[in-house]
Amino acid sequence: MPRDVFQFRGEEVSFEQGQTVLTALMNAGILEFRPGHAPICGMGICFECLVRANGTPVRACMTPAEKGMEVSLDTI
Amino acid sequence: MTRSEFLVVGAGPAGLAAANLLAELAPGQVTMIDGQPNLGGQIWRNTSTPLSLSVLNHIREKQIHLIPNSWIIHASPDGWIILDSRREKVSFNKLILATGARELFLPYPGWTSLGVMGVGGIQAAAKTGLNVKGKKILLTGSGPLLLAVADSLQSKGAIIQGVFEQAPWNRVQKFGIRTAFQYGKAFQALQLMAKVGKHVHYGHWVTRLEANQATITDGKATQQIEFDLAGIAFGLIPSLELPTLLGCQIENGFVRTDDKMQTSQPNILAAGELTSIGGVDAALAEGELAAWAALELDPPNPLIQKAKKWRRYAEQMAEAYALRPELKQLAEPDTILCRCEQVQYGSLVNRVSFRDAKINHRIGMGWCQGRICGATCQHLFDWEAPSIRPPLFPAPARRYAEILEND
Repeated sequence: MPRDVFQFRGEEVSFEQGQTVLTALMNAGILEFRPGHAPICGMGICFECLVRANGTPVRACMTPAEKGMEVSLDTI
Repeated sequence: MTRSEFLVVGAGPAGLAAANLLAELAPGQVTMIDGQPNLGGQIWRNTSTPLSLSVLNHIREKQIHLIPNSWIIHASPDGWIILDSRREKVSFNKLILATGARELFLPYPGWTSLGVMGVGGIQAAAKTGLNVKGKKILLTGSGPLLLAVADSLQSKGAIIQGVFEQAPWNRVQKFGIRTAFQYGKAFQALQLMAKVGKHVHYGHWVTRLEANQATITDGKATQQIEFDLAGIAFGLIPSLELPTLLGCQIENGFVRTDDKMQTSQPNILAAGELTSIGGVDAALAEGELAAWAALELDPPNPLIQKAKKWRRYAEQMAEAYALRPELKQLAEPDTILCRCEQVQYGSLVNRVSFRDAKINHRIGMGWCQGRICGATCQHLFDWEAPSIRPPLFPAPARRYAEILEND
């Protein structure tokens, strides 16, 4: 599967097309999202994986990773 | 206003079965909505069965209009819904609710540790790209899903550290024999046991997690299990927010329906895990039944009997995997209970209701709106379910402004 990167905290995170922002980040060793928040449900219910992607707060587990995305933990 | 004749909410097995029949008997009049980009639901996640392929074909042929990546934030039994992804209401004449289930989480020291997901949760992650090859994975909690996920992860190269089921062996065995012979799943059961049976321990549960190590007990002895990732959850519970908002009667924790999937609201049907946790077979039968009812046609009697059979299966499964009382006693006073607002178990144990706890400690007021902690508190304290108010999912205020403008 083709690989791309998105930006997260000033670093490039590599992902395979079809992965979500959650799984790309977890594969890169990021298991804690907003401080004290660890993704648990994997299905869009718990909101522990909340990130800001291209300016919008989204659930990382429900968001396909896209080339050039800007992802941060700067959310409410 | 986008108009639809038949609206199916959820593209898991129940929704797919409903939409598939509707596409055949009323092509072009059915709209299906799902929160994910792909069909198959949150647990089943199967896009290669004949049913899934049939639905994909119907979508291509424009017999089903699919709206993916969309979540309902508001809905009325008068016949419309509001999506987070659209600036217009979507109207319906008949609505089939197939929103499925999610997992029950119970707190114990360390349950909020990193790398600890649900059982369906870790499967969902693995099926959407999480690398599990060579990772040591612990699975514990309750339900047949534990075995299915162990198998799924093992086939992706995960090292299964153990599968610890809290239900005792005698109950599970009885149900297993039933499943095999009364419900025709003998081959499936044997296959599964051959692949992952060696990892499974019954009558065991987790009491604590610390730095990638779990303490597992059987009530007498304890053992320490190392893990890189864990899948821990205590069975499935239905996603009742939307049916509740729509005024569907809820009975014993499920949407009440007659044997043709009619809810208490005349234009609304419900199918699948919403009516009982019966798994994919129940969902497929009920989804089809709901479609017949939506069309106001008499369903074939064998289908009614099939749905009844899987409803019985669901009841027997619930009995076999009932949660033991020890699981209510695992949390310590400083164990987090509400993850969104980081509220500790000790603050809540003396509250008298969910509403009381919400007012005083903000549980249920975070992003998940009580979806995780609400069920936990119902199980631990016998509290009422969190009250439901729109928006069902967080949405920008401008969405409502756009809807009003376009109405």
